[in-house]
Amino acid sequence: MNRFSFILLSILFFSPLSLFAQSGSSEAGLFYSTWGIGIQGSYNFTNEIIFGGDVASQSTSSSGGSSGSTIETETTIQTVNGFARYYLRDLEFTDGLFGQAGIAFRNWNGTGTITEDDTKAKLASIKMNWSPMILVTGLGWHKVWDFGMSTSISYNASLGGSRTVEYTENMLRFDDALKSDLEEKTDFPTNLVIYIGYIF
Amino acid sequence: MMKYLLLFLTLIMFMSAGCGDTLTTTTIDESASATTTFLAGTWTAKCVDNTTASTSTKTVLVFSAAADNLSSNNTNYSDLNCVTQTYVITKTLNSLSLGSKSTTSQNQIMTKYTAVVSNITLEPKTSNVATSLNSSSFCGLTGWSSGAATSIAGLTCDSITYSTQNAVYSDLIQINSEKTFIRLGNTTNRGSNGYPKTIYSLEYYK
Repeated sequence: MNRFSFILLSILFFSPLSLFAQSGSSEAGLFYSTWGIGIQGSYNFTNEIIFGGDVASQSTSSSGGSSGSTIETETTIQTVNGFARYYLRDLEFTDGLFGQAGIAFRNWNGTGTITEDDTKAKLASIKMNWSPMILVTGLGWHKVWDFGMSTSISYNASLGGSRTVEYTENMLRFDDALKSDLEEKTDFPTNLVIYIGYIF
Repeated sequence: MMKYLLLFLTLIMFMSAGCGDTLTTTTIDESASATTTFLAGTWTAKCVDNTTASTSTKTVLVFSAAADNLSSNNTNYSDLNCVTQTYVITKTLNSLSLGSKSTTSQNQIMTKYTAVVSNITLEPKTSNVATSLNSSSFCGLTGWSSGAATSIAGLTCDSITYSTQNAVYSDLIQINSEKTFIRLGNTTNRGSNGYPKTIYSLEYYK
């Protein structure tokens, strides 16, 4: 299976590279990213400029425990992003390289509860909320094949967002080290996007 | 030239972003506060069995109406279901004063309290138990009799040394935020400040 994947990838990457899709064409595809799995669509306004949008979603829930208590967490990350992308053309080494900027609307929130196993008493809880709108800028590289498929990888960063973390202490205090660790692990300032699509 | 400029501008934009969201944190203390009104009354723990010794114990805390006196009755039984009493240890505290909230080394939220030991007594409930205590000179005493409470304050009994009368007594109370149970500190494991470092897992319900 690994050999097959390697051969397939080799064929794809070494097959003839087409010029960028012609103006007026469109593209749609799927992507995997730090902010979730989603779909993306775009319109090639010119050879150098495209306008696009994507929707990504990711939900997680977990339950675990130690020392007679159970920790339950739930997170929801839903993002709708609109962007304009500019391709650096006519320079051999930059063909396919792009910069993009856009606005993302997000519904991001998370909760966590610590409960004592024996008595079901609530020990502590956490609520997290992110601001609904951010600016997103990024850099990436986009490859298009003759047969219409394309792939891209981009690295994006957010700007202008905010988030709130509310700690509620019932029977347990959160120490500073735990808070710092939690805040660090729930900070997602960048978004790596790996995309595969089709031009039509 | 224009291409390089655009590339440069994109890089600048990218580098200026990605610092993460501006973070605001709030901490809400919803821990229950121990008050005299809340504590006043009788709090009972469940029967705790000792399968190795085939015995059991049950503890009842009685706070006075003003919660300034506390009587702790620890009854021991000769069976696993708290039916047949063997002996009762009663600890009476006076001048109980609730202090501030505190945190144990495990970050558990507690309320400190201090009191003065009025007395600690042991009462055999059967003649067999009294005989057994007399034969072993339990606590160094030999006058044990069934139904008679004898002070053991300041004495060492079975490797446990009890506080003396009028000694200052420091302990912790834990209350769940739903205010349905309380727990007390483990007074056999005290820190340098005189208060217990941990709490007993046993809950007392009204």
